[in-house]
Amino acid sequence: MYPDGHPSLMPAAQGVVRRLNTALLERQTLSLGVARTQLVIEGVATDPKNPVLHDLADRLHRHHLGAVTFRRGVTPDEVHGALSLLSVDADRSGRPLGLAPVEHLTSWPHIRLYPLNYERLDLVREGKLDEDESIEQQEERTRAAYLWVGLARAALAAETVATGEQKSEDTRVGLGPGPAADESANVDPTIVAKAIEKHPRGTAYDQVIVGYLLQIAEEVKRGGGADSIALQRRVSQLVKEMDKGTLARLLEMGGDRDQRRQFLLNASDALAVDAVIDLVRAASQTEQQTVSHSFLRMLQKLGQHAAEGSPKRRALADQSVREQVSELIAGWTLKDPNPGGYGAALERMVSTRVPALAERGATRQTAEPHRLLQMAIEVGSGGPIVDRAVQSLIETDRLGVIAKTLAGVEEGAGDLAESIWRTVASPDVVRRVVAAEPINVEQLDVLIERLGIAAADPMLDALTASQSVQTRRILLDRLVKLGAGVGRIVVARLSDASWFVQRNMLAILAELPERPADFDPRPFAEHNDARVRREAIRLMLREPTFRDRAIHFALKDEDPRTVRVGLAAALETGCPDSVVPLAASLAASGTTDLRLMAIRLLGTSRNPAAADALLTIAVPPRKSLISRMRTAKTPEQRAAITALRAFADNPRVKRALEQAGES
Amino acid sequence: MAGPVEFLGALARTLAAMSLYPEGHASRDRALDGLMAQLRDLMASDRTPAFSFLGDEVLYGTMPLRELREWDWSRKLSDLGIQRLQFDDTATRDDLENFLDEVLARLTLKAIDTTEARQMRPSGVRYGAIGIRGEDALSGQTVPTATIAFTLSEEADAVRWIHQEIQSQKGLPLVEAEAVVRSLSVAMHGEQHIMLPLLTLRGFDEYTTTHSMNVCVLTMGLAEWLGMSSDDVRAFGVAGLLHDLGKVKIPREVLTKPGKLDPAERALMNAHPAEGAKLILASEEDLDLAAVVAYEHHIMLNGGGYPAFRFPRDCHRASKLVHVCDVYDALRTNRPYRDAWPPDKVLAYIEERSGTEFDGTIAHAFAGMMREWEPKVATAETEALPAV
Repeated sequence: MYPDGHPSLMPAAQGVVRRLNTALLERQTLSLGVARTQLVIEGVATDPKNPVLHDLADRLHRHHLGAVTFRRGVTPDEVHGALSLLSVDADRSGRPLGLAPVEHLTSWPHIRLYPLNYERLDLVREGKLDEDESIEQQEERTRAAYLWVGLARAALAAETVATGEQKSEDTRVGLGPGPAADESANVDPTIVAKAIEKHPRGTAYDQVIVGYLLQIAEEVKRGGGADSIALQRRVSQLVKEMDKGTLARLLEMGGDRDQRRQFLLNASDALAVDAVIDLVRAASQTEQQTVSHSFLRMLQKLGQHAAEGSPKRRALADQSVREQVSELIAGWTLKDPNPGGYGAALERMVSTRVPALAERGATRQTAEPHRLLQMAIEVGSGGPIVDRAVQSLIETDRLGVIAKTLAGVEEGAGDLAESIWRTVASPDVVRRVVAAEPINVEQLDVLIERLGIAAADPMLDALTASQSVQTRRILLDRLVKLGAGVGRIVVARLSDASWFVQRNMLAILAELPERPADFDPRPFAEHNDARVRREAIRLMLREPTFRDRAIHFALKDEDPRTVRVGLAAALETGCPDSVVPLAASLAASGTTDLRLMAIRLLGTSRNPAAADALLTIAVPPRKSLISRMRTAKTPEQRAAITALRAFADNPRVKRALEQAGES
Repeated sequence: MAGPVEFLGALARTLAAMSLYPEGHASRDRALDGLMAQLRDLMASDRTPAFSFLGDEVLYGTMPLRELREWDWSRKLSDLGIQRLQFDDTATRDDLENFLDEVLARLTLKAIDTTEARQMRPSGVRYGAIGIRGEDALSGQTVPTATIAFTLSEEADAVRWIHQEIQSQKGLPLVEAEAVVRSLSVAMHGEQHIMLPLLTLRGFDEYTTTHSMNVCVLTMGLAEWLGMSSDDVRAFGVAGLLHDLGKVKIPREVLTKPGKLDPAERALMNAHPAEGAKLILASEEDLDLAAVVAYEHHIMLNGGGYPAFRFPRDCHRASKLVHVCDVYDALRTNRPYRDAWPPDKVLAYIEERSGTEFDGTIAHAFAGMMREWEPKVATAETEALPAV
C-alpha cells in the first residue's frame, strides 16, 4: 500500500515485533507452515476462510515458500526487510522468493524463509488429457496435482528446514544421487513416506505436511474425478507406508483436537480402507481414546473384506468401515466433557456429511418416548435415554402424558418419578407452555400443581408480554389461585415497570385473598395512566380501610370508566359524606349515565347537601315550582325526584314532592 | 412284566397331575416322587431301560408290552415326536421333571421359554424320534446350501468382550456392537444372494453369545424381508444382538444350573429383560430401540410372558420381530433331552401360535422368509464358519 520509506511502514513492523515478542516469551522460535490457503502455526491450521490469513498464506505460497521461522530477538528492521520482500507480488514480479538465490532468504539473523523447490519435482500425469474436460474438471485436476506435488516437495525438502543449515542446491531438496534423482520416483508415495519419517519432531515442515494432508483429505472427499482418485490412491499408500509412530506424530501436529478429528473424518470418507484403519489406530493414540481390540479386529476384518471379497462384499465392507469410523469419532466428541462450539459443529458435520448417520437420525422405527417413559417407570431406572424421551414429550406438548404416567407412582420407581418431575416441572417448562397461544391449560395446571409458587415468575412474564385477553385471563386466574404467596412477587414487579405491567400486577393483587401488609396502593390511584389508576382503585375498594378513599379518588378522576367504578362501588354501600360534593358535581353535569348514577348515589346519602343537589336537578330554577314539577321531566329530573323520596322528612323536599304529585 | 408297565402307568398319572397342579403343589410332587421310585425299581433290574412308542404298540427294549396295547399315551407320545424314551443311571428327578415338562409343553403348545442356557446340560433322560439305524444320521443333517468362506470368530469374540465390559460395569460399548452388526450384515449380503450365517452351539457356556448373534442375523433378515430401510435393519440388528443383555446380571451358577430352577432362581431369570433394559437405559448411547426390545422380547401378543406391564400396551414392532427370532433360534438349538426341532416343525409351531403368542403378520412373514431362505442358511460353530 505504501512505498518504501513511508513513515507508516516502520511502526507497522514494530507492531509485528511486539506481537512476536509476546509469542516468543515461552519459546525460542515460532514456525509458520505454509499451505495453499492456510497457515499451520504450532500445529494449528488457520481457518482457510479467514480472508487475512488466507491472503497471507496465498502470498507466501505464490512466493514458493514452505515455511517462515522467527527466532527470539527479532528486530523491527528485520521484519521490515522481510516484509518488503514479501510485499512484492510474486506473480507480478515473476520472481518468487523461493526461486531466488538462497542468500535472499537468509539475510536476517532472526527470520528465515524456507523455499519449496520446484526444479526437480513434477507430477507424472496419469492418463491422457481429455479434450472434453470441463473447466471444473480441469480445476479439480489442477488442484489434485498441485496438492500432491506440494506435499511431496514439502516432505523431500524437510531436511533443510529441519536443520536450518544452508546446503548445496542438490541437497537442499533432500535429493541425493541414485533413485531420488529420478523425477517420477520423487513423487512416489513410498519415498515421500520415508522422507516424512525422517523428519525430526516439531519442525515447521511437519506442520506444512499436515496442512497438505488436511487439504488433500478435503479435496479427495469432495472430488470424484480421475485425478482425485489418483490422489486418493497416492495418499492412501503414503499413510500405509508410514510407520505408526510417524503417523501419530503427524496427527498430533495436525492442529487441535477438533481439527484432528475433522481430518480423520475426511480421511475416513476419502482414503483407502486400510489407510483409514491405520489412521484410527494412530488417532486413538493421540486422542488418548481407547479403541478396543475387538473393534480394531472388526475393522480389520471389514477392511479385509473390502480388499478381497466379492465386488458386492467389497463395496459393503468399504462403506461399513467408513461409517463405523465416523461413528467412532462422533462418539469421541460426545464423550468430551467440554466439546465446545467446534465439537457441536463437528457433530453437525458428521450428521450431515456422512449419509449413514444422517439416515440413522431419520430412522423411522424408533421407540416412542411415551413407551420409554413407561418402561423406565416399570423397571424403576432411568438414564440418558429416558431423559431424552421426557424432553421429547415436553417439546411435543405432551406433559399430560407424563403426568398421567407418573401419577401414583411411588412404589419402587418413586425416586425416578420424582427425578423426572424435577425435569418436567421447572420454571423453564412453564415458560415454554405459557409462551404458546393459545395456552394449553391442562399442561399449565399440571405444572402449577407440582411447582406451586415457583411457577409464578414465568407466568407473570407471560402475562406482561401477552397480547391476548384470553391468555391474560387464564394467567390471572391461575396466579390468583397460587394464593397470598404470590403477592410479594407481584409487588416487587410494580416498581419500575410499564403501565400495562403495573395494571396487570394490580389486577392480580386485587383478586388475592390478602395482600402484603406493607403494600400501599394509593400512589397508583394517582398514576398518570388511567388504566393503572382504575386497577388501583378497584384494589383499594376491596380494602375496607381504603374504600372511602378509593371512591373519592374514583369520583374525582377524569376517566369516565374510573368514575363509573367508583360510583358503582359507592352505590353498593351508600354515599360517604366526604364524596357528596363530588357526587353532586357529577350529578349536575356530564354524560347522562354518569349523572344518573351520581343522582342515585346522592339518594343514598342523608346529607342535606345531597338533598340540595337533588332539588336543584329536580326543580329547574326559571319556572314556578308547580309548573316546573308538572311539565315534562328529563331522565335526570325523574331520577332526582325518585332519589328525593329518601329525604321526604325534609320540609323543602316534602313540599316539592307534594307539589309535583310524587309524594 | 409288571415293572415297566407300572412305570409307564405312573408316568401317565404324573403327567395328569402335572397338568392339573402348578409347580410346587404337593400332589404334583407326590406324583413325581412316585414316578422316580418306580424308575429306581425298574433300574434295579435294568440299568438303562428304554421304551419305544410305535403308534398302538409299546416296546420295552425289544419286547412288546401286551398289557399296554392300544394304550392312549403310546399314540400321544409318538405323535409328539417321542418315539423313544430311554434312561441311563445318571437320571435324576430333575431330569425326569424336565422331560415331563417338555411333554406337557408339546401337548399344550405351551410357549417355549428361551431364557435358559441350561438346556445343554447332560441329562439322564433321552428321547426323540426313531428310525432305521443309519438313516438317522443322514436325515438329521441340516441341509444348508449357502457358502461363506470366512469365520465369525471375530464377531463372537467381540460379543463376548461386550458382555465382559458390561459385567465389569464399564458401560455399553455401542461402537463394537454396531461393528458386529455391520460385519454380520456384510456376511449376509456379501454374495450374490442373501445368506443367513447362523452359528450352532458348541457348549452351554456359549449359549448367550451364539444365540445373540443368531437372533441378530435373523432379525436383520426379517426386517429386510419386511422391506425396512437399511438403517432400520441395522438398528433392529443391534436390538437383536443386545436383546439378552440382561443375562449378564444373572449369576453364572443360576444361568447354567443343571436342573430345575427354584422359584427364587426363576424370578432372577425372569428379571433379565428388565435388567437388560436398565443396562441400556443407563448408557449414553442412542439405543432406545434396543432398550425396548431387551425389555419386551418375552412378552406375548396376548399379554402373556414376562415381565408384566404396569401400563398395558402393545409391544413395539421390533420386540415382536425379535420375539419370533428368539423362539426360532431357541427351538433350533440342540438340547440333550431333545434334538433341535427341524425347521418345518419350528415354523409350524410359530404359525400355530400366530395371533396368540406372536404377531400374525410377523409370524407368517418370518415363516415365509425362512421357507425361502432356509437353503441360504449357513451354519457353523462359533470359531469357524466353513463352506458347507
